[in-house]
Amino acid sequence: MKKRTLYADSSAKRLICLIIILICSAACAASVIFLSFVPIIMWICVGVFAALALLTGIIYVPLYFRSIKIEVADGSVAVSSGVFFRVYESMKLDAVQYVTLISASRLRISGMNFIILNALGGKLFLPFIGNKVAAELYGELNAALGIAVREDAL
Amino acid sequence: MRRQHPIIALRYAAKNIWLLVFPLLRGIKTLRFSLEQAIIWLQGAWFDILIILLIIGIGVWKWYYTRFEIRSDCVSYTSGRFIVVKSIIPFSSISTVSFVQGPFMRIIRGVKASLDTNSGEIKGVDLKLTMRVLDSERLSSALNITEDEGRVYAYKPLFRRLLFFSFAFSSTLSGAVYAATFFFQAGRIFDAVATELFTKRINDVSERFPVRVSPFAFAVAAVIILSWLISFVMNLLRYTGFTLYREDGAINIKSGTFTSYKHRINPAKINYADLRQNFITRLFRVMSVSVNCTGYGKGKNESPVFVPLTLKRQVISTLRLTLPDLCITPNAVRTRRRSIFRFIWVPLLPLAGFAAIAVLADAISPRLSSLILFVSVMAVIPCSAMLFTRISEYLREGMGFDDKTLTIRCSKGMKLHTIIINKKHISKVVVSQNIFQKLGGSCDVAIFTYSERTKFYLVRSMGEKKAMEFLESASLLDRC
Repeated sequence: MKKRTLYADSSAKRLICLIIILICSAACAASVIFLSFVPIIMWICVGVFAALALLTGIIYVPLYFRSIKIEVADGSVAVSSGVFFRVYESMKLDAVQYVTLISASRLRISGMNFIILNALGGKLFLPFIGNKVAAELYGELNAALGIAVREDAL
Repeated sequence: MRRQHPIIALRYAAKNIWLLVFPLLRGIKTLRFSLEQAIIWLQGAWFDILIILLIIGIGVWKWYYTRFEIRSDCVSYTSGRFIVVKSIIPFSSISTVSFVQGPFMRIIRGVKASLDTNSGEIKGVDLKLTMRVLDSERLSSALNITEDEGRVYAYKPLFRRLLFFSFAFSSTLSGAVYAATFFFQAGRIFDAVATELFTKRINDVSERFPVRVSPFAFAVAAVIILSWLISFVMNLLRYTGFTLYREDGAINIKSGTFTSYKHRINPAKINYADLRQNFITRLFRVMSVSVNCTGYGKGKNESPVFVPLTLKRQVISTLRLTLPDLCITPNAVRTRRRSIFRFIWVPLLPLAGFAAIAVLADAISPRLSSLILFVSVMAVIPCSAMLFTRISEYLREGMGFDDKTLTIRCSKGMKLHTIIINKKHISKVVVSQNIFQKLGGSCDVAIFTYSERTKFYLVRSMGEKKAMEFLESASLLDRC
């Protein structure tokens, strides 16, 4: 397998940030509409949702995406991620039994692709990979298991 | 790529039954406003119909976009239209493929297939597919491990033997009889005491029943016996027609009357064979064999039975035919003879305790003596069974090995196990000593095996020096 280092796709990051901000905005709007008869609770709710949007959508998610690093080598795959606690996971390809690809590429969203390596005694989750890279990597991982993946299957 | 059997659309549809909450809410809303009944009904009806159509539509949609392909070396699976999940499972990774066909599925020519590997979900299987019979036959034949080995019949128990052994030696039976006796007798004695002490109440049930029992005791005992009977009939139906054979390198197990079960197991993926006995079956020289192989015995009410209860010599010959790599070996090292107390103290203590309680209680309250005596006798029975089990365990516990396998004789609870494991499937060996064992020069050896869950077998009170020498000679321990 081609030795390389992959990083999380930034378009997925933008999409997740946008979804979080939209959900929090909707929650703020709902608080204003339905809790206007108790202004204190309304403002507390608005504050909480706004803080949530700021902390997760603007600070945590970008930091988390920056922390994701996937290292592919000849005999192993490793993933490191985490903002407050950094986790480094490595898996030997000998132990892998089969590979699963979860992809949202048909929604024309790039970066919402996940590969799961199912191995003896555990799983390794490779998150937020770009469309083209995910298809390539899925094919390569299956080739390492002795399985040819047809182009139409990707 | 092929689609699953169309019947799966209904199962997918059933998962969305929660959507019916919307017509329910609508119904509640219409009741509140009480509009013209006919219009409301029609409005409600079209909405309900729409929701039901939506539920079925989702099922059909999911069925349409879930496809699988059986290739020469793997099974490929794709699910979803917009968010796509793809898996390719190589045949070399598959440990067990199970095919289950109930009466309804037989009519519509469908089969539920489950594929499992040594990875993925612990509780569930890696891939579940409901497919046509033709596809299941293709999948089954594609899983040949060696070509043209032919079919070797290994074991097919006679029905009367299966019936007799299941009935006579089932631990469920002894447990149910014990519990039922307890409730019948305890209820009878308690009722007599209560009548004498408190009231002269006559109960219809106990009047009609030949032996006088309280209704509660009668109900509990009846439930226990009935549940055992149901379980017994279910097990009998489940294991009737049990056939074990080896074909083209794979182990095949077929069983079932109304619902047929077929399992195809890769023998290389069998972690170990477990020959199970209790002290009664040991007396009659019969045993059952289970195997630990990912995916086998995972289903609801299933157990990984390889050979149902049968004679020891038949078990040995069956294992020789089906799993020639797993050879049973005699003990090369065993528990120390002076460690008997280590084995028997657990049942001895409650035995002594119950005796003391019975004597004391009898002295304090002689009017309750019959009840106390009965409860004490009933409490002594499981303790005595445990004592006999522990003595059997003490006499047989140990380990033996040959080039490929390790044989462990040990016990867990009331069951005596003989584990035959390929040495390659041992994940860890733990030698432990407590302070008394350190002083006496003995140790416990725990053998951890390959398994989806952590599993180990403990051999107690071995001589420390002998155990270490054994583990070194069996290449299970390398000391620096």
